Amino acid sequence: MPSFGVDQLPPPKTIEDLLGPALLAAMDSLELTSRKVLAGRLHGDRRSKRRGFSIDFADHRPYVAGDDLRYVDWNVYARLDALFLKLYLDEEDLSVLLVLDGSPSMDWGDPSKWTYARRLAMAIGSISLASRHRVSIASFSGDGVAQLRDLRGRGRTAELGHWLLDREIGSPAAGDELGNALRILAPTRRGRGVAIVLSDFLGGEDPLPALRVLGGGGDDLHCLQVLAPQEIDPGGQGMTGDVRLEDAEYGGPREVTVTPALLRAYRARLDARVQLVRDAAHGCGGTHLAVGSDTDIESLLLGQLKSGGMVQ
Amino acid sequence: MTWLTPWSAFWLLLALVPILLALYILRLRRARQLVPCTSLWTEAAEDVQANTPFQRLRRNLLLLLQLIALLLIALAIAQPRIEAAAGRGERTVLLVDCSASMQAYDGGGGRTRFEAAADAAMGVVDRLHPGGWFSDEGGQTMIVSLGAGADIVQPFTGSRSVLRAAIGRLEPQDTTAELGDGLNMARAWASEPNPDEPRALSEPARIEVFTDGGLIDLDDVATRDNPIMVHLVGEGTAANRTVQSVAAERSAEDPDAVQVFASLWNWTIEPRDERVQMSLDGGAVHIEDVRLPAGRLDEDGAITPGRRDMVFTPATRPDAVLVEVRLIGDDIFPLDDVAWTVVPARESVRVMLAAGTDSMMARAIRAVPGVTLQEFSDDVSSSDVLVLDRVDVSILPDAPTLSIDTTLPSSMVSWNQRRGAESMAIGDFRHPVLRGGSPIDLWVGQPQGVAIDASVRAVLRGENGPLVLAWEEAGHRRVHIAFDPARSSWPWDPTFMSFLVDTLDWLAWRSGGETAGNGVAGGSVAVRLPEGVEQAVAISIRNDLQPLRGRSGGRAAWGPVTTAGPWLVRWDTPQRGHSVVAVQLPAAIEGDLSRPEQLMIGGEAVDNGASLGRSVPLWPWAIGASLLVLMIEWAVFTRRIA
Repeated sequence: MPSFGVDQLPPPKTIEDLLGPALLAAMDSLELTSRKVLAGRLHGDRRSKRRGFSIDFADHRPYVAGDDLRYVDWNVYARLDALFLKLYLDEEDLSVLLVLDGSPSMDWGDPSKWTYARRLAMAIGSISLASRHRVSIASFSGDGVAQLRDLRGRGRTAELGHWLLDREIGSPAAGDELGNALRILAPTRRGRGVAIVLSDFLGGEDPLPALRVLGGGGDDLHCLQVLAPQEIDPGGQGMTGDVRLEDAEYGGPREVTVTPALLRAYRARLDARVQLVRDAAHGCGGTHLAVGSDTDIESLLLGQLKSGGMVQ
Repeated sequence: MTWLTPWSAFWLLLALVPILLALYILRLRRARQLVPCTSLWTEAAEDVQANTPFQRLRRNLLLLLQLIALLLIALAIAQPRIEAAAGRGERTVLLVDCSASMQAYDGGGGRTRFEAAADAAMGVVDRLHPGGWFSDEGGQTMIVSLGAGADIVQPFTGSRSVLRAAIGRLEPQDTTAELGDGLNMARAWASEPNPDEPRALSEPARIEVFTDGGLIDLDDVATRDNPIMVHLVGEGTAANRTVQSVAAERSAEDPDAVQVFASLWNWTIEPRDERVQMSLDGGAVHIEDVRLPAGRLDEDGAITPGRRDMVFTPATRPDAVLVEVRLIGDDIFPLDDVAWTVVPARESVRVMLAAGTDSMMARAIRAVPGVTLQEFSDDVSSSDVLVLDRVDVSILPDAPTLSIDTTLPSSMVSWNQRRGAESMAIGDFRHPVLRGGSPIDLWVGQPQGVAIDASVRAVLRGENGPLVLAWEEAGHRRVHIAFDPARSSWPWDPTFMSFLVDTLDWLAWRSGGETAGNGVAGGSVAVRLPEGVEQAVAISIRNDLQPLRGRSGGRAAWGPVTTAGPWLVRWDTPQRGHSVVAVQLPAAIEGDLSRPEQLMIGGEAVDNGASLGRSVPLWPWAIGASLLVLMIEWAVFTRRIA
């Protein structure tokens, strides 16, 4: 099994490798949404908690000196002989944070989880930029956290793509690298928004404390757990016989004889791990979706993510 | 249990067991596989982490089963065999030695050798036919006794009770025994046990012999393809002394006096002081303490006995008398501590001489003890022997005849012209008339020329033809001297008188009235019954009864006689009477009771008694068991990995 779990395709070199023309066309009609109505920093295309100047009527208030006369409701003045201003829901930008797991465990699978996560981040980021959201993206590993902040507008898509292409798998972390990374990223956020974590969530212990850093702060949290097909069904993907398993990160070697019983036990433990991540995400008010790295991203966006309310 | 190739199994185990253990001790060289997270595999793997090439040998059912399978395979390679009951169709012949030496009391536990052999035979029968639910009753066993002859005591049968009863019927005999007779009989019966139900025979019958090694023909028997197993009985270390032989005869000078001779043998290497008793007709007449010289141990371990020949003081017994010589005291073989012989009653031979009374032959015959010389008459039947000394007769006399230099009208002898003088003679010393010896340098003047039939024996033969003839014709014995002894040198030779005595004895035998006699166990014994006795019975000292029927000439015979000692022959009609016949042990029975460690049959060593029943190979069972264990091991393995 020398090629088991090794990506047979070369890593992406260009933005087109990350985001193909077909996927780009499919994304034109998509928009990243938040299940929560959050306050933004700049005017945008997204409804804000604030009363603003969008087309959606919200309320009336008495005119006070200094108000813009363009928003006086003259129909009300005609009937009531009093000046009222029409208040509209303001449309603000949305803060989107994409967090990529760059630990060595992501650099595994056919297709590679790392490549898939980058492609998915590119897709979501592109949608967000097209929606004039403010996009920040970060990658964490044992080497630390790398971040690209406050991208806005379609024109920053290429910058996002180059940043993703430049990212490399880091070294393994000794502790809770996800928690550490999120605790670093949380203070840097400008307002609350949507936080999307793309990871295999295989390292560390219970991810709940780490996810609470984001979910507990009011962000709309989405956990996309990327798993390779060889992880989901190693027996069906060809793992057999006596093997010496070596951990991609910090785990010690394990010598096993792959048997149906062992595969069943492994699958049970994997399912338990996925359930643990799901529970953690739900515990933070977020969503969780386990995604195979061989899942078509267009289908994912138009299917599971759209039905889950993440995009529309 | 025997192992045909134990070393092969040893080397196999020595080579494979360490390899098998090493496979479990040495850690498996596994393919390296990078995975995102090994923690998902930890608990299910049940493997230990170790950086050393060895790991502790843990309790492992698979290893245990594999070791058992390996041991079973090695067991099969060693080819173990066990002795088991006879299988279906197998035939076994038990040959039980019933000879005299089997009566020695060294069979162990106070038993005789014969009793020990019978017990061993019972044990073999029990093993061959164990009975019960799981026994194989297909085997057939035959029992043959070896004594005076080979007798089938029980033909082939599969019934244990019948076989045990047959062994119980066996009795020791005072005879020798030959293995060859038994083997021939066993082979004959084993080749076709039932002529009415012929069947294909794939294997020769197994033969098991129960003996003390005293069978007399072991060197002459070929085992051929019959597997033979010998069960040797007897300790063979006990000392023995024997009355090897006893002889008695009447004195030539005083026919009423009986002279007894005995030969005593000591089979130990120490001199022995013994008390000897000589009895006549059951009454002790002589008791003497004697010292038997020590025997000599030869280089090959055999004992040459020390011998002491005794001559007892003559006793006057004109009638027939039973002589017994006995060694007082017990030893392990009482049978040869006593010997008997019968001395016939003194009876004179009536000789009718047809010649001048002053002839040389008349003087010589008159000098023979126990001879009553009669005048010639026409009633030749009143004499026991008719002597025709150079007297021609026209008809063959109706009496035993000693004719001298005359021409008898015999149909078996024709007379020719006389020959020239001869100076050489060759005697047939095997003939009774020359028992005392034949002349060596005999000169004979003008012997008769004779032509004889094949049935006429030339007892003494000269250069150119017979000189003395002996034959039977017209119901009587005839002896003819074909020359005039007076014209020869024979009367001056000592053998002449012995010839005359032996000739008169031989001629008078058939016409004599002697009823007592001697015989040898294992052979037939003949006795002459008085005139008119048609039925009689012979009784041994063990109360064996043998009915006798008189035949022509008054002789009666029975045999083979299996009991040594005196036999009383009794008759009631026409008048009550009896006689005694002494049956002696065969001379071939020696007092050497040593037992060989291993029996040699036909020059080949034969396995000694350790193996009973048939030899059953166990390797198929071992292979089957190993396959079963491997199946269990496979089931356990698949259950583990499933």
